[in-house]
Amino acid sequence: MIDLKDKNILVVGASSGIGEKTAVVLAEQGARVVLLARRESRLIEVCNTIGSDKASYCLCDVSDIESIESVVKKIVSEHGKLDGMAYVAGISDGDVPVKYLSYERQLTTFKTNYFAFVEFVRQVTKRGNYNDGLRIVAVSSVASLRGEKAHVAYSASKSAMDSAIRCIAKELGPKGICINSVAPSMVNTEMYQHFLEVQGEESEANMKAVGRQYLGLAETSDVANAIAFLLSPDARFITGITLPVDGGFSTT
Amino acid sequence: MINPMSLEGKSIIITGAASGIGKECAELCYSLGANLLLLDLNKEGLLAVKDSLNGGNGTVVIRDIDLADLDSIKSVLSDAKSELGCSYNGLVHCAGIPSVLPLRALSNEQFERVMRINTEAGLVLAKCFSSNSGHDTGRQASIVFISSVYGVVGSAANVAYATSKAAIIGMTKSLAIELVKKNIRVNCVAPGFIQTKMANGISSMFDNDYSEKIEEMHPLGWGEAIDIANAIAFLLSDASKWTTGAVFNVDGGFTAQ
Repeated sequence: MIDLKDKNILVVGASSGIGEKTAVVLAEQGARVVLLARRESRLIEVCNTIGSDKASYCLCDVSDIESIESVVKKIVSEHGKLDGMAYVAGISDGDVPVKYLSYERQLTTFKTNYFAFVEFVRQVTKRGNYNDGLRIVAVSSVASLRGEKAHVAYSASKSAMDSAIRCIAKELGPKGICINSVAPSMVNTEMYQHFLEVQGEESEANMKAVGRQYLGLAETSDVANAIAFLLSPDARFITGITLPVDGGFSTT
Repeated sequence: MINPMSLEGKSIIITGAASGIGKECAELCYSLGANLLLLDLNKEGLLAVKDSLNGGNGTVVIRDIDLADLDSIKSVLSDAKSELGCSYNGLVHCAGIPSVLPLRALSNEQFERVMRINTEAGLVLAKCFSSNSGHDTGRQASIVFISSVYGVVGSAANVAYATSKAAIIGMTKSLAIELVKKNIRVNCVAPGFIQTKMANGISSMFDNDYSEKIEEMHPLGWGEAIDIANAIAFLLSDASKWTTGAVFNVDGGFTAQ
C-alpha cells in the first residue's frame, strides 16, 4: 500500500507532464506537496486541481543553481521539514550531432538535468531540512542506459545523475536516506504530443522511439506510480537503483 | 482513497509460501485483497500461514509440492484452479535453496538441484501460467521472479546459487519480450541480505564477524522480508502496468557500487 499520509514532499519540475501527474498522485495518497517550477500560471492551475489544503507552490528556475539554497530554506521554513523530494525537472536539446555540440549547449542541459539535481540533494539533506526516513526519487531516462545518435548531452546528463545517485546512496544510507531514480522511455506528455505533431505518428522517428516499447506508450501515471512507491515507507530497503519504467524498452 | 497497489479480485500463485519472503508475500497480497494459491514443500508451514492470514477476504488454496518434481507442476496448478474458481492473474516464484560450497566441493547433483528449484521450476511455472488455460486472458497478468544481488555481482563459494539467480535475470528479460503478446508482464526482484531462516542458517556457518560484515555491505543495513514483499506487491499490481523486463534491486544499496 502506498501510504503517504501527511508526508511533506517537494516536487521539482511540477508544472506539466510527469511532474504534474506525480504531484497529483502523491497528494491522492495523502501527501502535502510543494510544487516547484518556473511558470506561475501553470503551477496555480495544478495547485487548484489538487486543492489548496494539499498543495502549494514556489517559483524557481532550477538552472539558477545559486538560488537553490535559499529556495529550499524558504520551503522548509514555510512548510516544515521534508519527507521526500521528486526531482522531475529535465530538458532535452533534441537531436544535436556531436560536431555541433558546443560546451555551452552541454552546459545548459547539464545545469538542469544534473548540477541542479545534485544541488537540491545537497540542500535538502542538510541537517534541519529533512525528517528521518527521507526519500529522494529522480526521473532519469532509458537514455542513461542505452546509446543513441545525436543525444550525447541528454544521455550523459542522465547517466551522470544515476551515477551520482549510486554514490550518494552509499554515503547517506547510514543516515536512513534512500535515493533512487526511475528510467522511463517515451511517455505520453505534451512534449511527446508536440513531437508527434512535428514528426507524424507513422514517421520513422516515432517508430524508432516506440517500436521497442513492447507495452506501447506510457501514461504519465505509470511513471508517477513508480515514483510514489519509491517515496513511500514501503520502499525502506531500496536505495541506489535506477528502476526502468519503460514497457520493456531496455530489455532489448 | 484509491490504493494503486490494490490486488482486489486478483488470484496469485506464490511458491515457497511457508516461510521467509514467500510467507511475507502471501500475508501482504492477502491483505491487499488477493485470492491465493500457496505452494511449498512444508505442509504444516502452509497450514500455519493460511491460519495467520488477515486483513483480506480472498479465497486461499494451499498445496504441498516438491518443485524439483517439475512434471507435477502442471496438474497442481490446474487442480488448484478449479478449487480457487478462477484463472490466475499473478505468479511469484519465491521458492529457492542456497548453496554455499566452494567449486571443488560442488557436485553435479547439487548444482542441478539448485538450478532446478531456483530457476527451472520458475520456467515451468511460467509456462503453465502463460498457457491459455493458466492465466486470466481477459486482463493484464504479472509474473515476478526472485533473483538476488548475487545474480548481479560475484561472491566466493556461491557459484551454484549465483548461476541460478543470474539465469533468472536472463529469463525475466526474454520472457518479458515473448509474453508481452499475451499481455503478461515479467519482472524480477533482486534482494540483498534479508533476515530469514535461510540467511540466518548461512550466518551460523561463519564466525561472529560475518553478520557485521554483511551489514557493512548494505548502506541501509540488513533487510526484512517485508521490504521484498512490498516490491513484489508493487510489481503484481496495476501501479506497475508499464514495467516489464525490469530487474528491481531491493538491496539496501548493496549493488550501488
